[in-house]
Amino acid sequence: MKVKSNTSPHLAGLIMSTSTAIICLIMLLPIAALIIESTAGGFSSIDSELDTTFNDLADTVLRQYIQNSLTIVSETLFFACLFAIAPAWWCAHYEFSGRKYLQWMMIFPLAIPAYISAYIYTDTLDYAGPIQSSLRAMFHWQSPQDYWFFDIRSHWGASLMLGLALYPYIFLLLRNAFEQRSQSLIEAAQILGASERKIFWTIHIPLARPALAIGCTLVAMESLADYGTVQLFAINTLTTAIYDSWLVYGSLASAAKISCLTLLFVITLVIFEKNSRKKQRHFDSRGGKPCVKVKASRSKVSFIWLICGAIFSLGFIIPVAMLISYCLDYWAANSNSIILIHSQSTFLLALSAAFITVLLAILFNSQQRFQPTPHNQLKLSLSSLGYAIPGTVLAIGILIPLGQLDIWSNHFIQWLGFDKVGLIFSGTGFALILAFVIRFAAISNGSIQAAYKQMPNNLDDASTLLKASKLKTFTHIHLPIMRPAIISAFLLVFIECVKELPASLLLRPFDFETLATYVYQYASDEQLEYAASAALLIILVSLIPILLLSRSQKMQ
Amino acid sequence: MRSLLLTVLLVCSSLTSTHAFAEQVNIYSFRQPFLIEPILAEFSKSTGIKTKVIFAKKGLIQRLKREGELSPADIVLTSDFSKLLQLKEEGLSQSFELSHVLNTNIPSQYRDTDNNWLALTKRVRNVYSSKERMGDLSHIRYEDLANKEFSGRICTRSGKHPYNLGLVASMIAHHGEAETEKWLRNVKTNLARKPQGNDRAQVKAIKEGLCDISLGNSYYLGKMLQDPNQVAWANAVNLNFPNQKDRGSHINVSGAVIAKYAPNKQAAQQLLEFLSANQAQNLYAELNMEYPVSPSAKPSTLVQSWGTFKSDSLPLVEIAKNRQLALKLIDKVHFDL
Repeated sequence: MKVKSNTSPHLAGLIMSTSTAIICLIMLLPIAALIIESTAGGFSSIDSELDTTFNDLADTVLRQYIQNSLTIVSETLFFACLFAIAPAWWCAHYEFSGRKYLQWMMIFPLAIPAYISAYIYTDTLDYAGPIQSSLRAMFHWQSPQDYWFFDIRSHWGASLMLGLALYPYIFLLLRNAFEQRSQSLIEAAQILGASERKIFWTIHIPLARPALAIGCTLVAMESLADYGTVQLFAINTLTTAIYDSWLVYGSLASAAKISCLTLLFVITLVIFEKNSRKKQRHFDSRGGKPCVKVKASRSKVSFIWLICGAIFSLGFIIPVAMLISYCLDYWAANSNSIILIHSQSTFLLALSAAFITVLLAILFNSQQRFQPTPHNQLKLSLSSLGYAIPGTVLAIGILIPLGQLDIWSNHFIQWLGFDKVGLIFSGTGFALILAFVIRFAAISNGSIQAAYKQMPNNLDDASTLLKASKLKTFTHIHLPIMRPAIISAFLLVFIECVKELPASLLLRPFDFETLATYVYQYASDEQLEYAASAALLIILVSLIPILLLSRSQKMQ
Repeated sequence: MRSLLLTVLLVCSSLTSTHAFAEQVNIYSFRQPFLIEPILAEFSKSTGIKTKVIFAKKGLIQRLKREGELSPADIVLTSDFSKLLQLKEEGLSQSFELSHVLNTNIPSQYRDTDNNWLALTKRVRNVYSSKERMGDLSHIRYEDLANKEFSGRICTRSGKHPYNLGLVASMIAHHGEAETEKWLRNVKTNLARKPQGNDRAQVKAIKEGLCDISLGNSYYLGKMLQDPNQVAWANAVNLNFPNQKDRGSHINVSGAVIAKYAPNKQAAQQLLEFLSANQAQNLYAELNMEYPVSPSAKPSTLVQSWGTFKSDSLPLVEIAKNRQLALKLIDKVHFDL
């Protein structure tokens, strides 16, 4: 669609704007459905006027739950930043042996679902686990009073696990941002006599702030919506309150109120973050020459490898090694060929969902780029909301409109004189893919938004001056610059889809199992050992795109 | 790009739903597939009817509700009685035909008066105790768990887990709200650690000396004895049946309902009858160490070796009435925090 005349850009803009508005509405449908349902007192077994669940919770445990949620989110952010910022900088700034491998290895922990590594670590490190047991045997300690040991089932333990599982978001976004750092600014600073440390804190970090902020927002949202991990650590959070309200107390109204509380928290976070960098503008920061990596000294290289190696071991090697040992211990249960079929369906499902999600993110973000109106910004922000909603809640939110759609379409088809077709929307892969797209849009939106934020506006101006159409500006300028960001977005969403559990569990059709749902039937009975091979396959399938990409070196 | 698009389309079309298919029964299951698959395989072998299962622990009832009359579900299998009652209350079940087979296999206290649900297996809420440190606890009552002598010696899973919730509801049914609240508070102060893990994890904690007694269903003991890595935990504990001198031990049931809009009702009825008959009941007993509801089926030899016991005769429906209240009390005393 080459745009040439004066009127058609308007038309094209209108079509774009309408279609993104419609997509945005579809993405908001589950949330809207939940809110409407809860205010209408939709739960039949409970009279909405007599439903005091929310007040009961507020009187008893809610305060503690909120406090726990805030603690988990802030501590997870702390750990994620701790594990991500320095390695991202090292990989972007220094040239050293093995850097090319290291920058990919640091993403590997993302492939391990947090609930799996949490299971492994709690199993290994808690009082009855092998480490403490052997320590007791060695030193003849009798009871917990005889010695001190890090209590893994604490908020610190849970945050550490979440931090290890989520830091790659920040790492990946930040590394992309650091890679695009400005050579001319560095040179200017050096001429003015600034130290390396000062350049880092006053130039690189502020320039990478959009990426850092988006990474942190993603980590915060994910840790807020987490259920599996915190449950394993016996920590009750707002997510626990949502599940309890709805699925144990049976009060949708109360669940919706608490969900709104969670959303409010997320929105405040996003607004706070946006306001804090309102005055920042990015102009062309690219120097004439490409950015050069500094050769790292030998001691620095060892230091980098030591720190990154430790993070990599904690986040990846130890859990994988434990899974392999479980797998060997329980070989009979683990050598089940059915999991190969599950891997295939998981892979295809994740591939489709990631493709659609990234496509939509590009659409929303490029529209906001070309027409930076509050309206478009709103669409972009709203389409990211799904990430903050716990998976099961989102899944049921999706079932409400899709179930209705199914009923209508069946009526319509019967009216046409055909036979019922059943649940063509809510009972098929459609629901599952929709759930993934809504849930993970925030990740791809964030990744691409960060790339756009760093892309100077004067590039667009130059293109406009040369009378290039918007489409041409997009395909010839934006796309090539954004390529690393698009690849990261695709990777992140793909991996999340492979790992996704609650929505897959509830929305999958008959005879359809993903690796995660297969693992869950054992993990839910605390017998992960019996599904260790499937857990390893989750990791393997998640790693496929990372390995392929690193091989073709497209992100170099 | 084009190939990716094609893949997307392929995946979408390959995930189409199964609906009203001859000789098949669709099951929504709260129980893990590996627990029921061997039994379902026998069913398919003897009847030629295929079974399809979707398993989840949360949200299946909501899914069923949303699907309405288009739902493909024929049978819902649950692992506790409150879900059976909820399914009936919310109008998501329909009555099965009380055939001769069901009538003889399922005693009347284990099925709904309107034939909307039936129980398939019984599970006892036992008290596990350390062989080494506790001695004979065969006289123990649930009420005793609140005694000072057990201070810092009890382990349990979350109070809101259906098994514990059922127990607390039964305490309310027997002692009233105020008394139960007091009991819960004292049990809470007696805990060695905050509620966490599942029933096996508590036995493991007893083995390691973290606590001396725990609450747990009996079949876990059988399961642990079968697992080479867990047999040591199982050997460290005694299994006690509480309240044998008075009302008897609290029991929960796993059960089934036929979904309201079951497209294959006939096959669903057949499956219920199969599950209630001796072959399946014995499989439940042998594979999962549960107590069969059918009077003519016997528990496994191992389970029989744990001895006979008296179970609480209060109807499940009476206990279930107190479920909401039990939840509130558990939150009120901050049991899980």
